[in-house]
Amino acid sequence: MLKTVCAAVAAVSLLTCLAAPAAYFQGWLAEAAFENLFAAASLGWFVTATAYASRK
Amino acid sequence: MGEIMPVKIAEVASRMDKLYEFDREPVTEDKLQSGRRFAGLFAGEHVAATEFVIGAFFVLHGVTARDLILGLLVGNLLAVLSWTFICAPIAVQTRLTLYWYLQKIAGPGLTFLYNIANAFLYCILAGAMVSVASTAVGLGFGIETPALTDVYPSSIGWVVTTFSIGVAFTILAILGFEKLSRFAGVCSPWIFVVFIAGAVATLPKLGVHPNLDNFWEVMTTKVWNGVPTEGQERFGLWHIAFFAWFANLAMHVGLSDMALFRYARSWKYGLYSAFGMYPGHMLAWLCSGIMVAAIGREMNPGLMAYTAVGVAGVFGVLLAGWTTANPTLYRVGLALQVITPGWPRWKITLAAGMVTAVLACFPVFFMKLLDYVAIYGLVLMPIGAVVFAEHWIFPRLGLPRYRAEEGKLLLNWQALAVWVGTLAVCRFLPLHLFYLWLPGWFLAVAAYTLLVKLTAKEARYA
Repeated sequence: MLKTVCAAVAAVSLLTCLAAPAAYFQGWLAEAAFENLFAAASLGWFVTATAYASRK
Repeated sequence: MGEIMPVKIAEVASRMDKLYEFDREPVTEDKLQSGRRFAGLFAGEHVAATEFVIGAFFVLHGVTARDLILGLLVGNLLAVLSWTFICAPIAVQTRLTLYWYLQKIAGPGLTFLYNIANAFLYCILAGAMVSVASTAVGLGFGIETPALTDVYPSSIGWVVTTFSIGVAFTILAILGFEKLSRFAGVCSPWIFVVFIAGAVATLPKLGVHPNLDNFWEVMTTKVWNGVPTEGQERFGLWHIAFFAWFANLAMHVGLSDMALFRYARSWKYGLYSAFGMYPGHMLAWLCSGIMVAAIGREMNPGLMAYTAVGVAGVFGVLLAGWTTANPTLYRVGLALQVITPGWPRWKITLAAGMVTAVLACFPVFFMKLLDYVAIYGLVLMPIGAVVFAEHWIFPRLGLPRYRAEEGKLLLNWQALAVWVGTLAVCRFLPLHLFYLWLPGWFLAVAAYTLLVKLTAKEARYA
């Protein structure tokens, strides 16, 4: 169960990392907000993807 | 005295054999891997720290957008075809690594020399990765990145930062290669995203409209505008095509990826290398080109990524440097283990890491990365040509194969002569460094075939 949650959060985090610059480019996010969102999503990716990988 | 040298080489060769014992036997049917695994491997392996530098250098070398895109399409296609038609078929037929196949052909003595050459070249490559990571860390401490033309360290700050990073990477490599490489597997999709995110986030800074109506105009006037930075040679389509082709020359034409393809079900799996060349190299190089244009074409990967995506970008460059330097340091340690008998792995990795850390302080390896990549491939290419000739041409001409193995030779002197001779001829060919390897390869194949044909006749009459 935890493994599935980790995989799902990791995938969402990585997609957010891709969506954040697109939103900034479109003018929907300010530069600082984009950078913070990108950093937070990156952290989310590393925590959950590492947890997923270590449970393999 | 004359006896000492061969005996020593034989001892070293025997130690080397023990080291590589685990992959001595040809891969069995049950160990073959799926195509999906190959696609994943290639996609993950070909987005490294050096991609931040290579794509940026294309901009500094004043390539036009048209030449860049066409050059990358053609060059990466040629690289994929080299994996598919040169490397994969030999690997699938022999199911051996280059190390063991070269033993049969050229003898343990030459394999030893090849290993040492490879280790030294790997040290320089790892050093370049450390330098790239250093630009990211240096940003936080206000350390100035060396100039494009710098050969020697430009400041104490640069030396301290770079050497410390080299030491840190070495300690991490000593602490546990396997666990760290598992973590590196987690890093690679994210690093790929950093490239794409960096390029997309840079577009507004370059003045691209959200509806993309001026995208091509901006790309051709502000990024790949055909104007080289002062002191840089102007690159055209063929420079780019050849660079994309030879960027992994040691792996495909040089055959070191036999280690990978011996697990393939078919030689057609070579086509999976496209996952590393197009979404990997091509996309990453285009993205780093866009990012460098936004910082006034300054060769500073750390600043490039920071300007594009903020602090996360700095970590991206640092992690990209580390994840690629880590396996490189491991390979250097493995190659050097043969000349340091009785040394534990940590000691060898420490020694290799220290050499790498010192080399990393010299910005020439990072600032001349494109030339270094060309030299790296060129130096190892003749060995691939020798193996190619022996595998494909000798059976058709009825020439004896595996002379080193059959004759229990320590060293196949014809192969060594071709290796050294090809490099000597290439040194004087009136061609650009990027183009040298191609005539060199044909020359090596022809020279080795001819040399063996002549000496085989001699042997028959003797």
